[in-house]
Amino acid sequence: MNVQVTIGTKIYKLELNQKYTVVIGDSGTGKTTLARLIDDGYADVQVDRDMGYLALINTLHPEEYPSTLNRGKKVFPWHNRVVFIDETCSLLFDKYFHKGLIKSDCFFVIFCRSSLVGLPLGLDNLYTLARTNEGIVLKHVEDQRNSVRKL
Amino acid sequence: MMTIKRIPEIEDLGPHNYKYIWSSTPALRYVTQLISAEEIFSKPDVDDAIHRIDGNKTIAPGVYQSNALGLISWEQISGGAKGCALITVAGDPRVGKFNWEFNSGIWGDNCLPVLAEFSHRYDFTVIPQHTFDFARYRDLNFSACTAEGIPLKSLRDLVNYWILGRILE
Repeated sequence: MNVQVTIGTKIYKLELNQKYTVVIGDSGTGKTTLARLIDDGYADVQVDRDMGYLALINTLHPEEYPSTLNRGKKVFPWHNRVVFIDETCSLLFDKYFHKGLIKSDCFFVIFCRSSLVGLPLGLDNLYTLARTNEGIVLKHVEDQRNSVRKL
Repeated sequence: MMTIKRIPEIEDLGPHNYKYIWSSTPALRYVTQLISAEEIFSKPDVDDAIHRIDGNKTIAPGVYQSNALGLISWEQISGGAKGCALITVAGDPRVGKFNWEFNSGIWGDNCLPVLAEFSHRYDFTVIPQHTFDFARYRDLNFSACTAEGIPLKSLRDLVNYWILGRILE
């Protein structure tokens, strides 16, 4: 599953190998801004398989979400979409979030540094957003490991 | 002093059963209802933190010139810089009963130098929910202790306690 996010001349490519992909990075590299631009419709998002997408950057209390996550059913209201979730969204820290994610038919891109309950991280599903001489660059962690190996 | 508080069961984390600052944006929005944003962002320490973490230039308290975004308000600065602003008002009686325990994930690695400086001037509690790249900033000097009051005298002690939950002899 490939996702391409274009903002102006800048292109960010993500390969979603698993149900969830986590993007980490230093403060000020633009994780929340990227989610906000997707949410506001300023970013052109292209997703394989004609899936839809949405971004969650809200700071709503989980009880305000239009989901049944907190009523014991642990189910998300979205289907067949790529869901971008920023760390400002309290849903991420809901103790049932991982259960809802596993049951869901969506793919998730999570902008968050904190470890999330029940969602282990591996090299397959970890990206970093970093400041470089070429501006802000999104890189797959495995790519970075390969470049270190070459050195 | 930076107090490091470990939570015994990771399953117990979450807004429903453990109250802590999981993200700086909602916490700062709440705090600015009680202390004016102008007062918080006029502090030299906050201004310096925003400059060092985000590289923004201050136009007025709470208004910044960002290289990437142009003119922005304090709402659009990074979560790490907001977290540092929150530290400077931690424990302020005007905020009332507020749990000043911060999820470490609020701050990126580039916030560590600011956190090290703030640990000598402010009291705040951090919950280690992710691992910083301490090796990148190995010369930093923190003023830190455990929740039980045991001082973490060196960066080595701090890292051991952060990662392993114990101090190695």
